[in-house]
Amino acid sequence: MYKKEIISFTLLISIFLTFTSFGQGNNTSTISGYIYDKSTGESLIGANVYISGTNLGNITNNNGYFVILDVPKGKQKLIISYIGYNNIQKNLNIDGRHQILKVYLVPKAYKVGEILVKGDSIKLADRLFAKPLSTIVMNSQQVNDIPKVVEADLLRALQTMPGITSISDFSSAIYVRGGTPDQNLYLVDGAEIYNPEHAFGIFSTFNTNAIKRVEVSKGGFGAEYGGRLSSVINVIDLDGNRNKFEGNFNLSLIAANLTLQMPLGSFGSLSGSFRRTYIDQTYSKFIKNLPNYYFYDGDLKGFFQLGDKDNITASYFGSSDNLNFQVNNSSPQSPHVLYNWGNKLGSINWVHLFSDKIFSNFLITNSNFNSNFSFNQSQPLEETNSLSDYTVKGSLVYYLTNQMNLKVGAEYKQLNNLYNFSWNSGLVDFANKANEINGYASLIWQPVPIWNIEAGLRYNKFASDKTFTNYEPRLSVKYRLSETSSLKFATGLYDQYVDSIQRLFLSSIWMMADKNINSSAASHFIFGYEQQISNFFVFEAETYLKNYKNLYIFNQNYTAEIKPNYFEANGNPVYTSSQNLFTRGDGRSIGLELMLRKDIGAVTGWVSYSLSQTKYTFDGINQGNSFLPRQDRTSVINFVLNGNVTDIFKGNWSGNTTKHSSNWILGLNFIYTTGQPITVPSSAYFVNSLPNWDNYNTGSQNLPGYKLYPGAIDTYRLPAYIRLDISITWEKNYGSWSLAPYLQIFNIGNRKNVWFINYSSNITNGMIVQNITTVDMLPFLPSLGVTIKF
Amino acid sequence: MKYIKLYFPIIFSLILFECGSPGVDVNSAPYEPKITVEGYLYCGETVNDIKLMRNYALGAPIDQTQLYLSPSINKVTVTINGIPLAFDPQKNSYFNNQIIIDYGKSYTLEVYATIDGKNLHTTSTTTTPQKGFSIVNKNLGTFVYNSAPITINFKTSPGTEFYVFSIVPDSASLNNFIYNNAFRNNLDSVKVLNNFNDYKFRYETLNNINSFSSNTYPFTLNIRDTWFYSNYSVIVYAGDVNFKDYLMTAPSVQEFDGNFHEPVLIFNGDGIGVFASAIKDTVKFSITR
Repeated sequence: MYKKEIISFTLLISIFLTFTSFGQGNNTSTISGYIYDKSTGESLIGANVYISGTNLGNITNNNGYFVILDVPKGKQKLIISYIGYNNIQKNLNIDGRHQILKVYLVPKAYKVGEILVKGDSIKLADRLFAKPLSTIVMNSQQVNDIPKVVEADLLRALQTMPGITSISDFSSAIYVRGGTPDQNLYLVDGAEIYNPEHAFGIFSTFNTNAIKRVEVSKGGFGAEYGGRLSSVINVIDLDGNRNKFEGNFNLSLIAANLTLQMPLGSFGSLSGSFRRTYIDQTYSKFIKNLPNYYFYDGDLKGFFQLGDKDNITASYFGSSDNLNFQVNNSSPQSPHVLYNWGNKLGSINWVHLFSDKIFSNFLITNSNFNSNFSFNQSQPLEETNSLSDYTVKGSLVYYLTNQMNLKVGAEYKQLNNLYNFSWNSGLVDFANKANEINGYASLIWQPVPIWNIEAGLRYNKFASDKTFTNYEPRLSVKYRLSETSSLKFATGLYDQYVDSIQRLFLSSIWMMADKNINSSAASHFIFGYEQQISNFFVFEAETYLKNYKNLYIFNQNYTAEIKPNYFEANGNPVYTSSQNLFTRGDGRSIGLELMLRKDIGAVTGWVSYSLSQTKYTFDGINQGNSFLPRQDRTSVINFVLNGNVTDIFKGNWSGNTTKHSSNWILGLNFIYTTGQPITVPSSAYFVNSLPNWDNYNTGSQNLPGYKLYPGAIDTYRLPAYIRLDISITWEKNYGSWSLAPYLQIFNIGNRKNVWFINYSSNITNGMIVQNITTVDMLPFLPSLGVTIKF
Repeated sequence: MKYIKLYFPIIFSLILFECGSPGVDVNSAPYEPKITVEGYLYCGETVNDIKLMRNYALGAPIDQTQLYLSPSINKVTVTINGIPLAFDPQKNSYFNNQIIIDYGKSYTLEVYATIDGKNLHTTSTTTTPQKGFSIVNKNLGTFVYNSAPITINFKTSPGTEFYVFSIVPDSASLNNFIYNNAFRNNLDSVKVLNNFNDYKFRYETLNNINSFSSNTYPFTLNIRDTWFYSNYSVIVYAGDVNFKDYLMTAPSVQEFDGNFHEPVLIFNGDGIGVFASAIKDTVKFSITR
């Protein structure tokens, strides 16, 4: 695991940084402030702010805040730029007094006929250098532009990125660089969300219209993040339009989605969105025996500006999936399935400036996932599963110098986990509580413009019926090779204290680390190269190595191995321990990712290639030999293209684009992946399931039952997965509102991508013939919808 | 405008590339010959009906006449606790009427055989349940379909935590099938025929129950267990660990998403299948309209 090496190396860097002098001269002053979108009042994340003619500058944080220290006294020109907005130059008279600025940028293409520049005056290479290694940033528009499966979906959009894959068309869950879905940390406005799934896992719960920005770290993330081994998906929702009432209405074949934003006087804003499916109200009227199913989700967020130094955000997110299915409607005694699950998430976020140099963020959150399943029949089954946390966390960023920031933070979390499953002859009853305390410090230092170093240390203490304590050093180094290229490196140790049992079409069950389940650990080593090519393209190459220790997967033979902890009075077993429920193992992922990307102009998109391998070694599986898990993909090619056809036909291919009164927009998403490894049977044999079951499989031929004996684990690969999706949108602008009907076609070539293989046998002319058939994933699937903005 | 010439050919090419139905060829999965055992020992009975078979490569047509291993073709020698078993060519199975199976005793099966020219060897040991298991009321009477729970009461065998209920109608045909059932109305007879044995052969299990309790244990059958208007004979097995491991893992090696995993089969060497022991008892009832 190279733990000692990483700790030593990071300590050395930290000591070196600590002894570096920092201070502010007498002839200088500090400029700080916030950057906002003039049209909406939303703070702008990642805007460039710099003093003309100097190396002094910074980018805004997640609250739109920036600080520039040591600005020389006298007249200075402050330049602010942001992608898609007009640059602003502000003439400042620096007189030694601290100034807090509020700057409002005007979006380009504000009116029809004006030129829309999707780039800004900051060079692409500078943007690339500022971006942390292995990070993807997307906004709502980019997520919605990618052709979708009926509904726009954040996690499916992320699957178009190198290093992020899915297991099948029927699941939105993402596997990041070989890591399983439970190794991803999902944050919505800083609050953790556990099971972000709708519709039996087909869609995720994130409402794309409410999203302001998504940051995905595929590895090597900083000390401020912890508790997961593989990735961080940090979703920041819209605060709300502070200037005027604004709306966005989406109608697809299965759901309606409304997002509204409005100002709250001069001190804040309110935003909210609501989405509901209506299959239960439409399709079920025409299709017999369609289960009564719907989901809804919604969020409400209030933003309150309390002077120059404080703002408070209160937000709530709720989602619910509901299934009510009577197997035989005309028979009151027929089995009846009730299944509902959902998330409730509340948070209060206080942002406070202790001084121009100390930016703080305090958060109180409550996250709750709950699912209830019941199958009413002569032998009823009932399952309840919940995981909730109460979290208090705070973080401070201390801008020591223009070249050095110190980030410190702490978090306390109380976790409650309940799993209860009862049937007529047994009960599973897990109820665990845990307390988690985390703290971190991280120093970011840019000694010269071509170097950027971030060294941090995170401390975790997780206490359930056993206490786990871990120190996690993190290090990130960026080096500017030339004006247009840079090298980056990141490493770190990561620990995880909750694991989930992934279930197809049912929500995951989370289990905590305890005396039976150790905490999981991973180390990351990532090396990257970035290159700007011309004014429009960027090229990124990254290679990584991830080592895992103490991974846990569900023991498929648990029914034979699990032992009861005690018995009920009627003799039924009660299971209160996770012993034998999981199988322990280690693993390793290595990979190379290449991506050519264009974010500017009438045609945008990316093409990427990933080469990777993930290997597991688990106790008692495959005779203890290593094997490739299901998520392993040797090669993945992604090709995503979005084009404003109106501009293309006018010859405006690569430069600025004009906002027309109407636009035709073409979207394309192509994916090729090596087939997934699966375990196939190596042979068939004939033994009855029960002694008196002669002729079960083979009718009256006096033969025992047909069974399959698996071969070595995951040695066979399914055929390559290939899919092309296309979307065509016609966008019509009417002054301040617009209408955009669209047609989406998923899997336009109707390729029969194999989901899995089925086996059976029959007897023909005295010979037993074994039949092998495939079950395919989603076919050609068109869908229609319309988006109305007002 | 010059780039537009590239845009649509790219899309067209990708569509062509994406079309089609990829072939699946799993015949290349490595095959190893195994001695397949289907053998159960019942307390108080002699050793009989121990079947030894071979396995087959996936996809290969199978000649039924070559399925069972015989001493003449496969050079089989088979013993239980060192005592040889004889081959019955009529039943294609091995037996020894001199061995009476006792309660709470271990028996080891040892087999030598040649399959596909390869000499194979396997052993497996089962420990029979302790005395004590019996069904309290062996005739439950007649039930109108889906009107009342059908409950079987039994006394447990101390130390035996696994019980299986094999639910098979005495008479099963399309004529006495329950087409209007709790799950569907007017079920199509063609669909019934296609899955006939799944309706006919049903079982339920009890696992990890308190076997040392002196109380009788009640077990209620599920509505999905009865699909025919018929007399039913439910054989209840108090099974040993081998019985449990085989039944709870071997029939369900394919997961819901299609992948496979290894079953828990208690064999050393080249054996697969089941070698287990049990005490069995039978209960009867009838289902009427």
